[in-house]
Amino acid sequence: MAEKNDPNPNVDVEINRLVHEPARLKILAYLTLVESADFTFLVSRIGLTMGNLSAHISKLEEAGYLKIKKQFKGNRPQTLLSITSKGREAFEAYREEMFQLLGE
Amino acid sequence: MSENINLKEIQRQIYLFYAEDGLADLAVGLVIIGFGIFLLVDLPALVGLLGLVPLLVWYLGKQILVIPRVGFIDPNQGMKSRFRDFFITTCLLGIGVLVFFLLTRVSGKTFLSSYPLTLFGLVLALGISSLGMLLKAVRFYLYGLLIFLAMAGGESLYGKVTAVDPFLVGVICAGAVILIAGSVLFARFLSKYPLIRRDN
Repeated sequence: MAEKNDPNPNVDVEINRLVHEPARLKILAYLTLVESADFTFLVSRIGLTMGNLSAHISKLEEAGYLKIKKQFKGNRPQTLLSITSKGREAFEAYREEMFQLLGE
Repeated sequence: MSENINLKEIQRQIYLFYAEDGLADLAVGLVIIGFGIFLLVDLPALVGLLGLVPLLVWYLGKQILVIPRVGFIDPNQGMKSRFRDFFITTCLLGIGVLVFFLLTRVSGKTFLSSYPLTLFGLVLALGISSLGMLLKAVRFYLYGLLIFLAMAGGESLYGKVTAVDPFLVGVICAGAVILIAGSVLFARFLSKYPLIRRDN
């Protein structure tokens, strides 16, 4: 419940900071719209460096939001990423939190 | 870092994955120009091959040049359904036209017997426009219009213009315009997305 000295008197929702970070939010947004995507696709669309993207992906994987599958496509190694049901729920919950906060 | 994340825009980006590289444009251009060339050398029986070469160009281009640059996606069920529906619709359209042609030949309907290539151009235009609808790429509607105008115009001028075959000129020019547009898009794509060196 909101209190008088509460800095955010109208905010009753807790924001998932793991999802809230813009780069991770973008990663999850892309992956909710496909069955899976490889690392190269996310690099080309999200505009992060490979190292930066790897770090964010690791955090999401640790939280159980992403599944990573490494395979070979011909002679080339390929890293396929897909969102888990836990990740999808977290993303949808975050969207709901934002709707409640911003009313859009 | 504060950016608006718009799911509709991201979905558009995912569809762009299939249309941005210009390979579909190259394939369509090859089909049209190939059709014209086959008629020019008077080998209409080989028109059936028209689908194979552009499909091969599209597939190999994706595997060898596009995917190493922009990666790979496995589309979701919604997108797969759209692609499947497109494939079924174009097959049915093709079969429908063939049946219609055969029936009109048998029944001797004058209009269609006089303008079969216009009808063919219309069907081709519809097919290419539906590709534009599938890939959410407006330029394919323009390609469809160009092809229809080239074929309809060429057929209606046939016999009136004697210096050249207006139908063949129209078809080959339309195909060349689409092929050039596809080549420009492809070149732009290659310069925008250099090869990503890291093995992932």
